[in-house]
Amino acid sequence: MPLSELEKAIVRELQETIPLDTLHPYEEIARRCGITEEELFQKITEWRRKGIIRRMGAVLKHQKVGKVFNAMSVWRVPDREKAREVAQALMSYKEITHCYERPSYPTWPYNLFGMMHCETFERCEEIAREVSEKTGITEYRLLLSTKEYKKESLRYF
Amino acid sequence: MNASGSHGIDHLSDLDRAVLNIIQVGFPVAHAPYAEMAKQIGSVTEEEVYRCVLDLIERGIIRRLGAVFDTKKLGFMSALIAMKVPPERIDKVGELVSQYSGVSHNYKREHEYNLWFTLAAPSRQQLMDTLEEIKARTGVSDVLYLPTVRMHKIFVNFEIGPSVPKSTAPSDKSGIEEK
Repeated sequence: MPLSELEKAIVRELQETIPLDTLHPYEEIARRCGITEEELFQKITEWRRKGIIRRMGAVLKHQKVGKVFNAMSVWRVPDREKAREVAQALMSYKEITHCYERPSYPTWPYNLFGMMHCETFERCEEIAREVSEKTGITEYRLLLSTKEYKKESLRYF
Repeated sequence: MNASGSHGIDHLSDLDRAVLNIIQVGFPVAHAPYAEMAKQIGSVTEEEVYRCVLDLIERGIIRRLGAVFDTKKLGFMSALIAMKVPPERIDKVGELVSQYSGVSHNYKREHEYNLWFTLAAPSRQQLMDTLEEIKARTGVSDVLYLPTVRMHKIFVNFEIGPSVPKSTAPSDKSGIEEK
């Protein structure tokens, strides 16, 4: 999906925080991009419809709203059907924020990833144990994040 | 990322909670977005909502207020990368990796593969080139390339109770999306 220079300029504005020194931030973004506010609304609406923009809104800092422990649960599942079952079990917990299937390697047998944000590490362990019991998948690990080197939204252009 | 216990949700006012529960689902796309939010919340002015948002940003509770793009639909490739870094060099390598603009999340984790980061680039070739450069610059050769094969869920949205009744609070489930 090649973007025009104008579209790249719009992405460049929207990938940052909107202008905060005004009650009319879209008007200011449109001005910076050299278009009308109405044209900007049309582009945002189009991108939302196409799923290019997932949402307009706030990205929160998790630790500050009480979600402290970031753990990556990784599971060795035998096939796609089982992966779906384990993913469904994981997703029934509100603490699971992302769930992906990824390739495995000889040195890394785990092919299903469930990202957790829990208030305690014990809660992370409890969820993993319950999912294991429910699905019969016993080969799993919990990788606690012990240091955050970087966490920010991607800048595309 | 260690638990310090100092960042609870106790210091959020009712207005903070009401604003956060709206703003993390959708900041209005309108000429006067704060006025729209004030209308949704009720018995609060545009100016009060605006001040509240500025304050939540100032306090670091809101990290960013803007569009959340779908990296793939914007035409970018991305992958999770794991590296096995000698423990005594982990901070140095972690900081070097963070310098890349295509790296958005980068964590040290408790495992032999102790550095985990997401890497995005406009094409697969550029992604692999960047990865090769990182390997060369860090001297770390044991690297796992873990692109998404299938995505089961992606929507981070924490309900901030208890001032909003559960039935009206935003759902954080977006169901299964297969790629």
